[in-house]
Amino acid sequence: MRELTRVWEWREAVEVLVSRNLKVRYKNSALGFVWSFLNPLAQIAVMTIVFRHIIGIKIPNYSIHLFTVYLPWQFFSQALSDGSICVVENVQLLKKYPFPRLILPVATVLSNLIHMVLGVLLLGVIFVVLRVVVTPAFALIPVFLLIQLAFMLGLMLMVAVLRMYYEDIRFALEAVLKLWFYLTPLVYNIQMVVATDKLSLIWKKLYLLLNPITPAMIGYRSALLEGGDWPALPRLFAALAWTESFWFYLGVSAVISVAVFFVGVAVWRKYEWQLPELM
Amino acid sequence: MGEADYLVEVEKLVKRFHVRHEGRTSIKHMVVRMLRPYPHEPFWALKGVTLRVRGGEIVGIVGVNGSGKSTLLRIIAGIYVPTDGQVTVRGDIGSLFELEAGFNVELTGLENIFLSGLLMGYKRDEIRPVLPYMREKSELGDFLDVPVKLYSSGMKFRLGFAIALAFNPQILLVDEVMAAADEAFQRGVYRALEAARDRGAAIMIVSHELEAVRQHCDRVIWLAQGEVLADGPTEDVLERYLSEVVPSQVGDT
Repeated sequence: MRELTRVWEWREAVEVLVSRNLKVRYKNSALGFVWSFLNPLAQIAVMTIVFRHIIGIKIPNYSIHLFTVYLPWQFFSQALSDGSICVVENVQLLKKYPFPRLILPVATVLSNLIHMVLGVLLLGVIFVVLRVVVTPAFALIPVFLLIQLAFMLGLMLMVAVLRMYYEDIRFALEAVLKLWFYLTPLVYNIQMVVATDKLSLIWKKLYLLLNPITPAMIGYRSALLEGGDWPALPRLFAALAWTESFWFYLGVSAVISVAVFFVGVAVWRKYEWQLPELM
Repeated sequence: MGEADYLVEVEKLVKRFHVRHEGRTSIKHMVVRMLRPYPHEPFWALKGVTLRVRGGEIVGIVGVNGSGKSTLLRIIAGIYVPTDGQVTVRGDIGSLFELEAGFNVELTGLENIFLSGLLMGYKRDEIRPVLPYMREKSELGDFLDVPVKLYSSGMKFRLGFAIALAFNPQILLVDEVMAAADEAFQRGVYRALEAARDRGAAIMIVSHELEAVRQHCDRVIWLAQGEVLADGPTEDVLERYLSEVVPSQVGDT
């Protein structure tokens, strides 16, 4: 917690780092920020054609379904890969000024968050056009986002430190994120996983328990599109009915996420002052 | 003379580097190293250095490559953490290390000044008033609006030097970067350092240009293999240094 207060004290530097990240991302591109709309639009259009029309996934409003989870996913994966290089990229700053090191990864998360918000504005426009009804369930979205942020930041801190020791992390991360994309209910929905008879019950439970990002993704979509009609999930223990509720799995992922966050901060604190010595 | 007159106090400073990973590496190398009997080879960059610098003096630090000069300055600047011993610093620090250090080359000179100020811990309101003077001080004029990646090494030096002095720091650390500046600007640099000294700043310069050290330093510290070999008046130390180190170097080649 003390670390976070220090980051707050250095917020002016964080602001400048964030605006630099955003500026550098689109520097020299004629369309600039328009890319943050164009990219998800193009991705979603192609995915809709492939998965809805060619493969024939039966999900109503498929593009909108994709939108609700694709933007948070993009935030997750982009922040992780940016985070893995946030130390390497800023080594010249680390080599000169003894500022609190944590402001670098925090700035990376924030600039990606802003990036996602731009995409969400676009989503908002689409929602208005489609006259999607705002329900009380929308109020839970910050909770899902918070769980995602804790998990992301913790993971990012570990990856950023490891990356300094092992170049391999860059390639491993790339590969893992690609697999992760398919192991998370993004192009399909969780009801399809629950319903399939190709997977045994134990695999379904593992699928839900071992991926802390999944409940947040289910949450975004159910809150935005199904008015908080949370899906029933496989019961973890036959005798305990409440373990089949969405909230149980969300709770598990929250616990894992917070644990990952604290481990990440601990790893970061152990190594942050050794970082400039490694280069 | 009271304790507080010393702006920099270094007490029995020890620094050990972990050379185990040789910088960034791959898992293959890690496995290879784990098979070795001693994977963690320590390197002692500083072995108990004690020195003090008071306000109003320019101290030159000489020594051959690898004697620990740069490590010493970086620990004083708070970049490296001491393995053992104590460092006390009284006042703000301005520093000039490698040419690129502290810059984000995608940003313009002016943006870099702003970012550097924030990373040194100054507030926006303290940085804004300084900016108008920077065009003239750095001698870069309108080049301050150009990304630093387009700068020559001389221009980077000018920018770095202007940033180091921008907030009138009480302590100035300069690590052998002078060579990047042309002679006229170098003279200006030393004039600025002497002006800073005259207003009471403590200045430490690492340099291989002994002639400049002789001209501008009030005192010289000679580091060899992480230890202070001599600390005293410029002429005395330089004379010993020249007679003991330089001939052996010439002999090697």
